[in-house]
Amino acid sequence: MMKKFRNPKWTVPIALFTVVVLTHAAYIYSQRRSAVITSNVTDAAEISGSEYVKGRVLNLLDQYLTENGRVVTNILEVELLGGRYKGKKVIMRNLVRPNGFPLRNIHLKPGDVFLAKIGGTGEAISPVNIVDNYSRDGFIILLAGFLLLLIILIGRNKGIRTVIALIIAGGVIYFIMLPLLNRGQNALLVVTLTSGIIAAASLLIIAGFGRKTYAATLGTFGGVVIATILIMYAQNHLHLSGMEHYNAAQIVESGAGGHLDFRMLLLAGMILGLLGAAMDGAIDVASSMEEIRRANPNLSRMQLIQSGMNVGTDIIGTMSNTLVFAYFGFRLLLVLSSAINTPWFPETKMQLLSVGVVTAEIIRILAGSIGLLITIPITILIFGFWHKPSEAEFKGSKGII
Amino acid sequence: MKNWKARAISLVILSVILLVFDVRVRYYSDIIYNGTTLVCIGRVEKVDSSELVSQIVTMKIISGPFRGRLITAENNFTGRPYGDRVLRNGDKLFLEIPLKRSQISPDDKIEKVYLGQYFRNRFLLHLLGAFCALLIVVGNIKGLQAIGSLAISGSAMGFIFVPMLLKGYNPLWTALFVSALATVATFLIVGGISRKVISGVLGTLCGLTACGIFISLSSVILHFTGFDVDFGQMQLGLKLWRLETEEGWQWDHSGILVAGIIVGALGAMMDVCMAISSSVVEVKKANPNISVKNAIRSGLNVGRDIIGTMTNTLIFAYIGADMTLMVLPGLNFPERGVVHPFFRLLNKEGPAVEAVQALVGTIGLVLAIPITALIAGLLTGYGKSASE
Repeated sequence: MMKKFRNPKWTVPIALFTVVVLTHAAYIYSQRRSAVITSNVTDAAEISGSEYVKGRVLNLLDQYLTENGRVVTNILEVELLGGRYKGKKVIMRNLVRPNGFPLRNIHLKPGDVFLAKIGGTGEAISPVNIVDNYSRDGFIILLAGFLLLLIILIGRNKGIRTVIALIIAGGVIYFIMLPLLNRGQNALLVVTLTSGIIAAASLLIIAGFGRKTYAATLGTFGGVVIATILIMYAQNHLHLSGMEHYNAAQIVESGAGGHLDFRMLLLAGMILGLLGAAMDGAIDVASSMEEIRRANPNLSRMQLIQSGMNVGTDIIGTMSNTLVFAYFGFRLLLVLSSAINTPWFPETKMQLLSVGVVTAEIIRILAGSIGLLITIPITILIFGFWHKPSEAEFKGSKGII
Repeated sequence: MKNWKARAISLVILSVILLVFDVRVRYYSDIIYNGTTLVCIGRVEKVDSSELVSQIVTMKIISGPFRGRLITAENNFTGRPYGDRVLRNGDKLFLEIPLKRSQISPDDKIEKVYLGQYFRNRFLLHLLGAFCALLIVVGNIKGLQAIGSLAISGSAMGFIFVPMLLKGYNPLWTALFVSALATVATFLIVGGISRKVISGVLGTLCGLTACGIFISLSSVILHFTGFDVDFGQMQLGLKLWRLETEEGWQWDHSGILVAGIIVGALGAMMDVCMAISSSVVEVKKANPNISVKNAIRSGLNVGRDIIGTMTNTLIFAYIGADMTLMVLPGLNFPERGVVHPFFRLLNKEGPAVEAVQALVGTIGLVLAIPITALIAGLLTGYGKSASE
């Protein structure tokens, strides 16, 4: 009879409290922070530059029509919530075109908080400042906090581990992967290795030390490597340019991204996409195999592998759906536009499939799903061959918390 | 391993189907623009790079009525980082040939040839074939079922969902309706007719509805227009809006956004609900006298086990989908500074939509755990024996 490690009863309330406090803090920070765009020191030893800050609309001072009624000009009194000129009031113009492209219209009324681009030299704020966008990051932070709360509420202690694993994965991506990518290191190599690190860290935290975790980690890494090979092979044959993102050309043309290899970036994204689902499948299979092995340590290797395959085949049905639907939903507008006759898409569906962006998406789905699927047999084989029938002492997995 | 016979037969059938499609793709040609242009495929035989501004390529036409003929075409360099390509021997491309008259005879003179896209379809077909082959080899009969359910779901999306949206039906309800169809089909194929199918389907629908509620809320609070969509270099949203204004119709773009997010979460949702339903049914089988409360509790326990990795699924899928966005904050443009700091990006509609997709989808997944456990527990708990 295995002794179960009992988690103290106070961990969940403390974790909930921590998440609430941190989310609140992050929210406040998001409303008060600023991001510098340019910054120079003038001859008069003053700082000159521009930055993004949040502003709150205090009053609508004036509103009138211009350009034959096509443009509504709003004069707003705005209080800046952060940055160099925190607390100061600024008069800003916000142009709204009622019949214009909806994405460019920012509708503001008194009390609204929005993102502004403010420039100035020294103490003087520039007279021309721009309403950049609605303030959306606050709500997103709250949404993220809500998600973490739900995970802990429903998952209890395992939920806490999950949240920790998510935060660590986020940390690895933000502090290791992105800086390496920005420095121009080989994107494919960076993503493959970081994926391995994330898989190992997440699985260790969630599932604890033990054979099933090691097998699942190796299985996930194996799936990632196979997907990488497949995608590299595809790239050699298909000449994808990597310019599949609107900003990519802008970046290259301006010279800011000269060190970035956009093709590698595109391919690296495909790899990262399958990581979550691969970990999921691998640990599902490895956990089941451990339960089976625990129930009957005398199973032969072949029998254990066969049982593992039975479990594995059960889940491939729904697992193969994951990526397909995720990316289909992501590109829904594209699918709809290609179904009607538009002047910008090739006339035939055959040609449309060969357009760089479309091909990239299809490869993302297929190569990703192949990598995802292959994780399962690899995990099963690793766990299976590790097993020696009826070991004298059965070592299960230990948890961290 | 046993059952090699079933796998072998399936693989043979798959190969035959693939071969048929392969031939159709390889020799593809079509007449478009009301009979004025021929589309076919050509292979580069010789490249003349003596001029700096363009390449003169000699191509052999390998499909259509002019098959076998050699023609020359010009590949002009525009100097922009996208759209330019350096052609090499062996490259296959689409060709567009203007026709003088609709009746083509193979001896017709070819005046001008326009170079189209790289011909990538054949590779994609083979990749699809490899995917299906892998499903069969790894999954055997269940692999075939997976292919079947994917085919049915795909058809539901293509032949029901898309047309309904185009006809103007409310995107939210359409998404839920088609998701229900796809879920029922998948669960029936993969799980057979049983109580776990019913609870799985109901759980999936409830989870997706939860998604729908949160997304609709977010869409309103965050002022989503649904127009911040790019297609490669092209701002698809802007172009669509201009086309719509010109022609006088309008899609429900924010509705389409919502529908897309719901369908995006469908795959992962099915996965989770199936797992929980299955295990509750298995528990009931092992212990037919289990109370409803304990059945629900066992479902929750399974959910707790999988919550760890399941939450990662959608988040990573959407991070990978837009990698360029990830590196933008690190870029310092000459003279313009750091134009896209993280702070600014998170407030733009495009990145905000992606963040909401990942977050709300995962919220729906997490909520689906107790919901499905509850439904599965109730449905199985009130039976004397598990006859499935």
